[in-house]
Amino acid sequence: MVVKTIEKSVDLNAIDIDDDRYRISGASGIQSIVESIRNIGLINFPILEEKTSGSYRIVCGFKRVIACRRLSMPSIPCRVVNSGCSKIECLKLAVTDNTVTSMPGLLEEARAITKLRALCDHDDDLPRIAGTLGMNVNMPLAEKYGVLCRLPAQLQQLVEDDVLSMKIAIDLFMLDRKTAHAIAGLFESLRPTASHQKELISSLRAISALRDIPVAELLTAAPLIGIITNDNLDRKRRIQLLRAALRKMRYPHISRFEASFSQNLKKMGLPQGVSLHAPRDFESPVYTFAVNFENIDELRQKADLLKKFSETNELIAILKREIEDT
Amino acid sequence: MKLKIRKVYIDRAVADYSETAEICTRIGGTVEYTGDIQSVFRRINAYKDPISAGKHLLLITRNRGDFIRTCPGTAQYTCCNYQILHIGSYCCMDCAYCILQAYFHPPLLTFFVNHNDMKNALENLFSSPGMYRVGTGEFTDSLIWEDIYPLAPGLIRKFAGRNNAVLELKTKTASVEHLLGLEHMSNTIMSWSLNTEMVIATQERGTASLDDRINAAAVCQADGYPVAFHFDPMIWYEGCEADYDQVVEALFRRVDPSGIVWISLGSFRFMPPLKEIMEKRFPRSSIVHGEFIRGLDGKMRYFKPLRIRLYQSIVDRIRRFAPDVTLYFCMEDDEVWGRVLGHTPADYGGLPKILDKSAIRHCKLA
Repeated sequence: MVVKTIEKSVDLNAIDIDDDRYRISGASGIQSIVESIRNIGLINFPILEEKTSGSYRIVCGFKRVIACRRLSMPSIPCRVVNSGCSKIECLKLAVTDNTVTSMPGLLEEARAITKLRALCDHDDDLPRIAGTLGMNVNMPLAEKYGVLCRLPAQLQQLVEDDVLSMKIAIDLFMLDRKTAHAIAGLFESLRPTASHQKELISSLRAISALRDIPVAELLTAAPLIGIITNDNLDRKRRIQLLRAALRKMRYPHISRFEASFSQNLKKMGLPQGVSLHAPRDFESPVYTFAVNFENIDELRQKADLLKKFSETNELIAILKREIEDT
Repeated sequence: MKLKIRKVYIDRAVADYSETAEICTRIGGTVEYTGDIQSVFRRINAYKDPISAGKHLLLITRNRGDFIRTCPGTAQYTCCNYQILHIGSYCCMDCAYCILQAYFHPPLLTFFVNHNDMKNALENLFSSPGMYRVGTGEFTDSLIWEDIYPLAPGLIRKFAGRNNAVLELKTKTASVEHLLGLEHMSNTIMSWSLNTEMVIATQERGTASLDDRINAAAVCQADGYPVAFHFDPMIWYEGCEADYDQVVEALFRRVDPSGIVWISLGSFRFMPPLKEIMEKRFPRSSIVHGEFIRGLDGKMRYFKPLRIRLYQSIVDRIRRFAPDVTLYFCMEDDEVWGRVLGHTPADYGGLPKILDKSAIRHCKLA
């Protein structure tokens, strides 16, 4: 169905910019539109819907209307949709306009899908209707988009700025507000990769549960605060130290055991070409000595060394697998 | 520990079984007859929390598979080769660590009533060569069904006097009065899963207290039953070793070690999908945040040196009270056996042999 509109000049004060029924775009990039309108004028007229109160609701062109207000224009040319245009037709206009005038980001797509879903008679209709507008969506994704739209502004902004993935943002939203806020702040300042974010959230939550200390308190106490706020270290180094500190807190026995293994290994002083490998997570009882050699003499020499190593206290300690108290 | 059933689904295939009729006289809740069990499963899966819902819904049906199955051990760790008598599935108690939450899709209290098939399966077993340790406590608790159908007395009588089979009834309940005075002939081992007061209070919702379990064991022992205990899953937390010591002391204050067929030890382990379920259903439980590694069988288990330390501590305490009791590990490797008990199962012919021998001695098999 082609939506019919009429062109008319509309008083800017009559446009309700707080009515975001059809709003898809965020708030970024308005200043460049202000400059464009100042220099060239308003090329694409916003599309409005007349409300029963006589004021107008924006269908397309939120940023343009705001830019015109900033330029103190009293009225602007607009296209007003026919009064018989349904909500879903207006929303389709908004989505299409957003797609053709800009490259929609994740949040914009999420808003478009969530608003479309609210106007569909049945959820089953959503993938088909979204498809006609160039968006591929299934219901699990639509659910996630719905959550994304309900996120607090801080988290939405971090998703928009590519600091957080949608999944991580949703995971944070599932936590209590203080915890989510504290972790989001940490990620905003350190900008770890998605996999590091996942690891950090998991570690912080586990330590918090084990020690019965809120995450926000953990992050503002030693040793973590000293790492997070150490301006002498670059971002990557701080992330590395933070991960190491969290691992020690999360797995105290394993960390000490690994450290003790490394110390013993170092004390053994294995020569180049001979290495000792622990089983994964020290679960299997089988350790492996790897020996590089080029000829029989070298092999014999290293075999003698292996015999010597097998009698060292360090190897005996390694194989004992005794655990120290934390 | 009583079943609190809100709705009973009766498989039309068992609608006229005498067992079904008996259950119906003992149980409340609305009844729905169904010819389509899958549709029941779909309805339960549609609940917001099917795992909790399934604890109040009962399906009465027939066991269409084998009544007797071998315990599904893994190659990497030593299994006891127990025979599972599959009487039903799921549980009305609610333990945070329970694997049954993730094992059944959906989890639903299910009781099998084709007891003639079960009896035939048992007769076949009794007439087969070999020694069999049979238990009903793998897919459910052995005694939760007694209020709706007194299955245990019949099984106890069925096993009485057999010379190649023992029955182990494993439970976290304490209602054993109806089992006293039966002609069990020592062929039934009454066994309890034990844990620290802290674990019982925080992780085992709806189970009998430690005192009640130990008292029930003492009562059964006085009635001539051989008894057994399972410290499984042992859970590591700050101070846990002292707490397990207290459990051991409490146990031996009431129970004579000479009448204990075996004590098993196992530490908390779980398939990774259980973690999410536990976090969702038991948000205040921190046991999923232990120092776990992925074991050789894919299950998460405590770091091995930690397991060894935990076992060494409890074995040391048990040995003080019961130097000769048969101790074994559920799903551990030779290294753990050697370091904690000083021998491997192979030193004594393998774990099944060790347990058979103890069963033969305590259950007085000919």
